[in-house]
Amino acid sequence: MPKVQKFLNGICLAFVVVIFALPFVWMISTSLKTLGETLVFPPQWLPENLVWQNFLDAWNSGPFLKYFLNSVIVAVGILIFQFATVIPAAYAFARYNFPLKNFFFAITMVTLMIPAQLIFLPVFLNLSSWGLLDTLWGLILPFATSAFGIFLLRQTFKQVPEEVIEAARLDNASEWKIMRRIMVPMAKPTLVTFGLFSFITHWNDYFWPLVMTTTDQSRTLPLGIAQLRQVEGGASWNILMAGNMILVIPILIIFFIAQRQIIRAFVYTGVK
Amino acid sequence: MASITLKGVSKVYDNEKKVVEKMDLHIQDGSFTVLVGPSGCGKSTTLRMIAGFEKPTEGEIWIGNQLVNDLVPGKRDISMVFQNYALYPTMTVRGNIEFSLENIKIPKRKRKEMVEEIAEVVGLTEYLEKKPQHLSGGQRQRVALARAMVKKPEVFILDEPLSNLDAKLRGQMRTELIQLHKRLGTTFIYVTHDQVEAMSMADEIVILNKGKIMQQAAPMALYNNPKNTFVAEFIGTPAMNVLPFEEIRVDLNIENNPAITHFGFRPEHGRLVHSEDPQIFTLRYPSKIITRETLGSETIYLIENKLGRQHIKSTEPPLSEDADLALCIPVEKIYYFDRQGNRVEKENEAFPYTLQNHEKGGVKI
Repeated sequence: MPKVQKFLNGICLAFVVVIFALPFVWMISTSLKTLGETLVFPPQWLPENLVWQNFLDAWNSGPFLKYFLNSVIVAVGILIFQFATVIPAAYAFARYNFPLKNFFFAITMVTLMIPAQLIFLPVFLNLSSWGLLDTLWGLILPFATSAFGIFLLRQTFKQVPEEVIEAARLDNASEWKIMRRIMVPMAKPTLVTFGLFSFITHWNDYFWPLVMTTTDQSRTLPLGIAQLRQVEGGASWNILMAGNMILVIPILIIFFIAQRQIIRAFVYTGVK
Repeated sequence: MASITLKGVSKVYDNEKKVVEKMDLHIQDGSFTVLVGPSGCGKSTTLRMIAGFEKPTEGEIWIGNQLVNDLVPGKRDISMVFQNYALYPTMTVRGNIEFSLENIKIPKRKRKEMVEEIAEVVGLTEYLEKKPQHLSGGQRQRVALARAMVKKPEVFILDEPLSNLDAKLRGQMRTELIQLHKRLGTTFIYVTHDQVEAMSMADEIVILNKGKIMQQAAPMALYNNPKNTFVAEFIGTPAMNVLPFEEIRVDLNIENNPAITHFGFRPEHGRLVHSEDPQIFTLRYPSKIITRETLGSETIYLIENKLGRQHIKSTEPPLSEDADLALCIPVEKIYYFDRQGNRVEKENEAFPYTLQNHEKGGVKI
């Protein structure tokens, strides 16, 4: 019986691997093919020669350095703003009693349930009246805080034993210092996880930059890559996939570095 | 160093239950004072009000000659050791001890010196760079102590600091805390629910019940002169036997006296003798043993007789459980209590004259 179970387990795992990994492998392999190889039928799994030129072609097909820098500024900028707003907000919700606290927290939670597509028009009009269309600020500001981040971090802060904070107060630490030196280090796995989610989301975001930007001055990588599709005479899939690789590689690198912290965030129990 | 004074302090929570009620308390400068009482007696709340984590609903709290009601915890010059240690988990032992010094802006070199000096005292030198989660319970306890000591506070507060340690370590830490108090000479306030800890460490014990002070006195004074049945039953293991007075009133041959309703005697003062033993006490009751706990150096019996059930502690060799026994109670060792459970002392005018005569020559042989 255990043998059968093991076998079935294996099949299930294999199925999941195929679903998730295959498109990824396909992207890598395509990014290194010649245009001809991408179009053969039946499909060819591996390229005959590795065509690294595709990456150069993709990079040189537009102001990709500009796109890349814009993406970095936007994703990192959002992250900085979010940490700056989410940490104090979560600390206050977790540790203070103030009038209408539950009301404010409820409002914060409700914003989680409103789809971005529903409010993009008012936000767009608002930013337009501030003259922020087609600027990087327009890409950053709408995401300067995160209800999800506040919720996640509040849960973590609530797990910190009250006595630890009281001990710090007796030790003459200011509230700011308690947050910075005690709460934030204890919440590091949660912060890393949240930071990753946020970074990946905004690094890959296509919709909002598409709405906000009109020139290459403020376009981000996903838009640049989407433009690769619109070359004359149909898409060159190999170039397109090379562009995708340029988009994905930074995230992969970050993910591998932060992997340990992410796992810790989900098994974190705190120290008593 | 500083004394602590509470003047008419009350604490009422939202649910309108009075946790501490009109408490007047004076803790002497440099004393080792233990607040003790059953859970829910208000001892932790009292402590938290002194430390500044809770605001008293009414009354004044003085540390030294400063009214501290509106002073934040950090400015009260208090150190505290918490029951669960409350160490900063992401900092090393050094970081934990250093944190308070850093906050009062002591220069780095001086800090290093102070931390290392304290680490030496509590024997943590080789653990300074470790994180708390890699230390044992006893070591964490020491870190908590070191962290509290390094500030050189006026008042040391310890909130059940030993309850997370095993029995052997607890005994050892008890001795160390007594020595520490002798060396520092600082005011120590120690909260516990364990009367053994209270008796063994305190200069002065404050017994609390339901938010009120039952009695404040030195350990032996509490043991010898409990002011009420609560204190009498709280101090001493097993507890004092407190029984209705009526039965022995008749045997002592004194007139009905409404002032006294109960009497008590300590288990170690009752004597179990074989019924054919010739010793004659005024109070002698045939008894049988219900249970017997032999602890080696002493034996604790639960016996039953016409007075009811009592505990008796004896250092003599254990008696057989089915022996034919009698309980003798020395009259001079008896405590008398009134209807409210308050002690009726000999000096009290309600104290029966005939009993005073008994007190003089209680034992007739």
